[in-house]
Amino acid sequence: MTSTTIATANAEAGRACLRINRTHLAAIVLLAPAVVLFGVFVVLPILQALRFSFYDWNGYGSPSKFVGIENYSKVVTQRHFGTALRNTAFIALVSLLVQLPLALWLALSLYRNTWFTAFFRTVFFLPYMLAEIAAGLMWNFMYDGNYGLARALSDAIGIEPNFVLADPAWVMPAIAVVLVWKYFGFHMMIYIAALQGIPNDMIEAARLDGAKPWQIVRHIKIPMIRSALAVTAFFAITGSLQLFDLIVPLTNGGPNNASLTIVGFLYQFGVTRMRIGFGSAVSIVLFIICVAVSIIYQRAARMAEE
Amino acid sequence: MSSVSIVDVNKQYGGLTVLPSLSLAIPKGSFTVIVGPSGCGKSTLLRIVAGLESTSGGQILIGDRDVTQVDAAERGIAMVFQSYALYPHMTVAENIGFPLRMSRVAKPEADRKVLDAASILKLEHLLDRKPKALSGGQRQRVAIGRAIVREPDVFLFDEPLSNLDAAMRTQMRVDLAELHRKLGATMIYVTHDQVEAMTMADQIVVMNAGRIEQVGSPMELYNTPRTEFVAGFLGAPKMNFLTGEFAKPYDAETLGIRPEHITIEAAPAVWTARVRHLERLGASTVYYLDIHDGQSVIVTASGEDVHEIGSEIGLHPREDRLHRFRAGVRQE
Amino acid sequence: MSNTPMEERRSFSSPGEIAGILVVAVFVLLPIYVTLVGGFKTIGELRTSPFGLPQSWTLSNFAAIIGGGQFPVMLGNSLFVSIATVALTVLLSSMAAFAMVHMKFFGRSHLATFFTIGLLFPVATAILPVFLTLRDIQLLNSLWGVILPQVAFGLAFAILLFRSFFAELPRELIEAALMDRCGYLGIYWFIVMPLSLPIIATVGVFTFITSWNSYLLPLVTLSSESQYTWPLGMQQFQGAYSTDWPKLLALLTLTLAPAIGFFLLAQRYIIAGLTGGAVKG
Repeated sequence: MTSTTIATANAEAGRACLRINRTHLAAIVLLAPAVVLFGVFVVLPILQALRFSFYDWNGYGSPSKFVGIENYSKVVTQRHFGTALRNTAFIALVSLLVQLPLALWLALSLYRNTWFTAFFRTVFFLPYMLAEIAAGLMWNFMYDGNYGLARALSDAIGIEPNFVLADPAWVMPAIAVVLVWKYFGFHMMIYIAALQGIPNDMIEAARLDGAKPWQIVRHIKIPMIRSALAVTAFFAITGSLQLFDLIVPLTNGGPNNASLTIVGFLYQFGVTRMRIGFGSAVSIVLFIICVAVSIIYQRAARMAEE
Repeated sequence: MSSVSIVDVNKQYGGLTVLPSLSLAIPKGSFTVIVGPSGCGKSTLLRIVAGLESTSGGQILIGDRDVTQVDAAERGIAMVFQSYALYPHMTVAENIGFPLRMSRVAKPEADRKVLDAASILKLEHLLDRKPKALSGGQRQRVAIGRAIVREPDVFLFDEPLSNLDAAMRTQMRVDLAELHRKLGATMIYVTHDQVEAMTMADQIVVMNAGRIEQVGSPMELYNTPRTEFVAGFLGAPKMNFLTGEFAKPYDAETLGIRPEHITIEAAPAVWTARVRHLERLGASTVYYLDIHDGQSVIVTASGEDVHEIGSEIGLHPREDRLHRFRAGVRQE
Repeated sequence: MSNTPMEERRSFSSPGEIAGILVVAVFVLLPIYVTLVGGFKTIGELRTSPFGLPQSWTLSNFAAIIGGGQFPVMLGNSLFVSIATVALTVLLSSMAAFAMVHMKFFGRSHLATFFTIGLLFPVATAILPVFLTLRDIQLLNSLWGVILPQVAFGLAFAILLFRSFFAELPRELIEAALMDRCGYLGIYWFIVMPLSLPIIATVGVFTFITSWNSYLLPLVTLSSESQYTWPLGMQQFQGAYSTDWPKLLALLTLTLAPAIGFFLLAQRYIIAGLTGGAVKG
């Protein structure tokens, strides 16, 4: 009895080994492709960017000329980088102060399900779907003082057509209009999903307690969708930080670099001139801003939960 | 069919001990019901036997084979889950046939086995339906069908009847007992319902707080419960437990007596009682009685002689059916 | 979501509110309308009446673009890139998410953190090293050089969506399949994937749109016209025909019409994707 037990025990131990291998093998097969691809094209590049940012390098051979933080000091002292930061901040502010309130107002009007609301929700969400590059081109036409909306407006009030996209003073507000046009529907949809999650009983109870419609909005609906408000604020800011595609067909950063954004700056001065070290320093600055925004958002979201 | 041996098995989650060391022999071909209150560790034990949970120590043997480190799939075990766990996107036939497909059984043979299982469970007319289109009892039978096509050595059931209504549950108890007789396989069945334990089991295992209280045949446990816990857990209405002046004459800390072992008679009354409430069940009547000292007893009597609420009656416990407990353990 | 009729009436009682909605609707639709009709006009007509319907529906602009040879090639490239990106993203992210939710292995929680990194920053941040990597593995100016980084950057969000969906699948189903002698790869393929069609649709549609519209990565990666995706082609057109608005608007119409059609069909999944991600994100 004992000897056979030992024999089977050994056989089982062998099989157990096999079993562990098989389950582990399955885990590896399932995980490896994603991990490898993600590592090669997402994680590694960020680490490389960090390394390259300390070198003066044109991308050929291997980076050998270590320059310390010189690239960073060049970035911050570059005149156009200040413009890019200012423009990005301006876009973020317009997103927060114009786009989100507009989206919230429309969401409160349209969150119930009827054919009327469904139709307008679809209309308002439509621009979000269109490629930035196409939307920008469309608005380029709208702003063209010889043809589009700009001409129609100036004809109507009887002045010379104004080319806003060529005017350094007006170019950013003009871009902000396109931005609001393109993205408010996205934020509206997030609010609508959150508003539909509020139990109807709660609103009815408030009404029975004698609350007026605006009081219900102020004291029930808005507090109940706090986390959606936090998410949209997060998206509005990170969206501003990434803004590039939309601007290319509108102004391509011009006139005179007046409408550069951070990514536009990175493309113009880092990528097209193959200044790997300088561009990487911009990347790292952008990365740090993104991470900081994420951390602030996580904190804020946690506070909103409580 | 195989016996199952659980040897010194224990289980910890982090610092929490769910099962202290525990041993149990489940005879070949038996219908063993593991019963206990929720949280007593009975489901964990079953999942350890299935191979869905690892042990922190000890061995599981199926027949003579140590399966402690063997994958759930390789243990020769089938399991029926509480939620049935039917694959929602497959038809009844595909659900039942799935284990065969996974074992690469040839299609014609698999089809024949599915049909056999379906006919045993009277599911032939439902083979093309999806689980969504079945009643609770039918889903239950499909889950059983999926278990039996594999012709496993051991069947495990994890509270399989708890999602059914009362009438269906009674029906399924009979069906399961018949199925066991037909297949003759070893079945381990976990439940919190003592009626299922009493009606279906060859062997009942009563568990409490991770420990086995007692193992034995239903009538053995019913008539000679080893502990106060087992005595109180099996049987409905529950066994009466009396203390103080009622227990002392019998040389016990706690005196246990089942409701059907007390007779109501005027003389020679051992105890006198007042009727607080009664439930007429037709065949019998259950009396809720106040006796001295703030204690109360429940008595089951024939449905014919009815005493009104508030009336005084005399009680006579059957001497040979008294259980004397000291520190929770029955004294012989 | 069942509102009383009284509530419905109350919500649209204010004419001011309806007027506001209509104004916003005009703001949204006007550029799209102008684009759609503009391609049918002559340049002179566009100058005198940009907002009116065309006097005669001229098709020559469309014919010139479609006949130009370049346009179908660009659309074909975009379609190939988008379909491959969707297929790979859905496959890789669902596989990883399944293992992360339903298998126990060492370092499982760290892996989730690892992938969240991808949610933190945009592709632009990594664009230079990605460019160099693609050069080193000789995928520059190849559609696969666009596809692979796109998949990598889409993984984080897709894994997030799949994980929350898989976590809702009953664990007993997985255990039953294990008892039925199904291995983990089998469970993924035979049990989990067939039950995940809604989330596959959501992730797929979302990935498709992102890929179809993406600009920066192809811009940096692709250099020869035969490889261009349509946004690059459109940029090139804009450079070449900067004053020929009817032609440009016709080109826009040709790219927008399928996008709008696709949106109207897939709207449900798009919205599910963005709200599902927003709740977790």
